[in-house]
Amino acid sequence: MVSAPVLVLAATLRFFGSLGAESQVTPANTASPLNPDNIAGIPYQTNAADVSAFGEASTDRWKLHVKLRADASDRGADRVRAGEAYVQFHATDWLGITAGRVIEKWGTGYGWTPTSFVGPAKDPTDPNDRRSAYRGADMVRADLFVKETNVSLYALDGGDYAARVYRLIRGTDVSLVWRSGNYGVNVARVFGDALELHAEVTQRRALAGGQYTFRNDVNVVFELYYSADGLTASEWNALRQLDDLAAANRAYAPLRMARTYAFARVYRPLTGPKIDAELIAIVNLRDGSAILRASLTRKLRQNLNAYLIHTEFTGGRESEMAYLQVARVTTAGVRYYF
Amino acid sequence: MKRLILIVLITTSLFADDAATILSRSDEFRNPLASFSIDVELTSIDGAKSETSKFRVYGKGSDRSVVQFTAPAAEKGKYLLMLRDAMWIYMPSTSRPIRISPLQRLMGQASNGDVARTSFTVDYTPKSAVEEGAAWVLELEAKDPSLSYKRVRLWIDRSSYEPQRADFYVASGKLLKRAHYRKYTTMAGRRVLSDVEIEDVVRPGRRTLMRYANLTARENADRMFTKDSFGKW
Repeated sequence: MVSAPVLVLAATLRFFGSLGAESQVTPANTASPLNPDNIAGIPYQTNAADVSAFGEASTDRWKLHVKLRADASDRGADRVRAGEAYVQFHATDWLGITAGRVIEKWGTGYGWTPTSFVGPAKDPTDPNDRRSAYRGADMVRADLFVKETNVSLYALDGGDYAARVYRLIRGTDVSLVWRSGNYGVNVARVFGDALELHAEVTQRRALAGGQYTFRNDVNVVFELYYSADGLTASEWNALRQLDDLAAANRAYAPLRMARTYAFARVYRPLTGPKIDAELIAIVNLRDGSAILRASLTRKLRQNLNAYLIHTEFTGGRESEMAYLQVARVTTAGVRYYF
Repeated sequence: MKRLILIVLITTSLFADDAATILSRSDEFRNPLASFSIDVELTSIDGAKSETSKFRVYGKGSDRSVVQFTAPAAEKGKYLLMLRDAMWIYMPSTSRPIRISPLQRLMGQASNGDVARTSFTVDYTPKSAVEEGAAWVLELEAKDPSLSYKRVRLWIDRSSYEPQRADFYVASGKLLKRAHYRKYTTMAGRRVLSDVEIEDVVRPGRRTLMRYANLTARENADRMFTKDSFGKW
């Protein structure tokens, strides 16, 4: 009989994470028809801090993984939560069983992942989740690795079931996904040494895009996104009638007020001054309004970054972005990695 | 005339076989075990500035590897998978594997392939081998046009088969990168490469040092080498 302490001693232990603090300035957009006299109560400044810690103990057979996150803000309640917490057991070389809370990783898109039926929805204005805020779904998952094909079967909290089949077919990533009546497919492929193209399709949403890396390390991502869940022009016009301002505020959700959007990201790592520069543009293709987000990240030490992010919104008076309750967003923060 | 052509064909074939054998023996100093793990320390130097990263590489065969980022702290939790010509990177923040192209760099002058790939034979065909002093100089041609470096000139010690130096050329014929295989040591009972210096020929003063340690024979399960395996082993 092997005792628990012996098992722990035989395991590989890993612990890492980050802690950060940031201050965000969000002047209210009182020119927005949704926010006259700042009735939405947009605070001018918000200060927040967080700690995300990943812990892992594993052997060849099993793994225990925990991601804990603590948040504190001067505008909300402090909280601690488990973003992930699961146990995994490899019964054989071709069968693994996982139980607990897991952040799933479906999709090939950068700004949006329409086929991510199980994982958290991506935020195209912060695709890298800089504060590590994603939270997993509770599940029991079976992973089968059969002849270069991966099959994952899910029993999800709430009684839902899901499945995914993945295979690399002649250099192309192909995944078929399904969750209780929703199904889709996503693909990705690299052409030459610099171009990657990807696409995702479900019954109601689709995405096509790619990324190109230039010889000077500049990386460009471009995507087109369509969602039948977004508003049509007539639905948007109906929302703008503002018969009930509170209801209109509740119904308004940026990047869901149209059906087609374009996304572009230009990223440049500057190795000399150790500054990463990133520019993101998200455009509502119906009315041309846009979110423009520029960020600079300065590496102060190997484990300490400082960043400045500025977001502007552009568009005509009747456009989606003109209805945003904030005029602009400026964020300054630091993050320490351990 | 037919006899002459036949002699030329046979000679060319034998020569190509010799070059392939030389390359194969040389590759054994970089990839001596069928299934293994090895630690890699990478120091990028730009003038007076330097930066160090550490990785653990798990390999199986000559064309499957997973690179686990172990330092600095900001890089922990990242993985890179290289499967034949395809590459993916996994970052805990984005929580999904991203298909990447070979040009996207790992650090300094080192490409993803420099760390993940430990064999020339997988990607290149030897076209010729000539003697130059105490070395053979092999002309290697990329098997796949998508590879960043279309041509490699590789210097191999004629007595030991140890690789000494490699020059990497892009399609235009321009020399971009030079690798010096500096030091060999014994790990896992075999003589293997331990120190490589990669020099940026275009931007003098920029170089990357790669140091290998702790080569260990390890039975890596096949499931580790699929995109879906990130975070599942």
